[in-house]
Amino acid sequence: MSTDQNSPDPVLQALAQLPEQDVDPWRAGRIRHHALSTLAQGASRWAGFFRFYDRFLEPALVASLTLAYLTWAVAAVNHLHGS
Amino acid sequence: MGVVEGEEGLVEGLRRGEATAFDRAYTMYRARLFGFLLRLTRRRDLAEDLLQETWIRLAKNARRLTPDTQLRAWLYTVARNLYLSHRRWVLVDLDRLTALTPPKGIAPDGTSPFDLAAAGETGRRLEEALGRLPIKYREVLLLVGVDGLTLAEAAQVLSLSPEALRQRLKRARDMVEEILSAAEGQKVRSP
Repeated sequence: MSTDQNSPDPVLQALAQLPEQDVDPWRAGRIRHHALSTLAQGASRWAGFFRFYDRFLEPALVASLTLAYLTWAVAAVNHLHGS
Repeated sequence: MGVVEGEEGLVEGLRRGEATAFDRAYTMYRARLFGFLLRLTRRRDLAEDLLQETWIRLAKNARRLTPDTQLRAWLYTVARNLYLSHRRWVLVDLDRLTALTPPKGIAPDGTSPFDLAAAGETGRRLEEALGRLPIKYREVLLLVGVDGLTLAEAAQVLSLSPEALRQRLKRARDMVEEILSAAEGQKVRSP
């Protein structure tokens, strides 16, 4: 057999003749719509900011606020016991 | 590796986030990718899910493509990697499961007997033979034989050296011929 695509190989030729399969039109439309929405989100002027917010800013804000609340709570308890 | 016919300017458009470029790519490769995934997975629902995820990946990564990206190879690589990731998560070896199904069950999408007849006996036997191959041999035949990728592109998709790809392709092709010959022998023996 030759794997050189210029010389004919009966098995590869027969494989090339297999009928094309396609996803049904309704699902194809949904996939396209979903992907285009994702593409548009990336094109937004704010896309970079939102990516930064999702990856770093939001976790940092949640962690800092949690820490601040715990610090306040511990201080409040100490204050109550102290008084 | 040169630019695939029809792909000119496509990567540049995608890098700019153009919906028209995305639509062109989608029109060019949707059916081929779906056929590849369907014949790889043997399951229509799974093939549809993986197809969707492949295009979402393209949409998410469009701006990060390099100018010299070979889009067709890129898409097939993503689709194949998604399938391999899926396989790692399933407990049942789909290859063995597929091998156990009777020949008429190999039609991946619930195709009707009429469709099968229309597709031709040769095509049906080839589909069956493909279904019996282990994934690593099936995928190389799908890429080169069915979808017409160049050997260089297929080697890139499968992360193989050109020589390793040639050997695997030869082995896969020989296996298909063996399966077809065996099936022919059985047919002759049976009344």
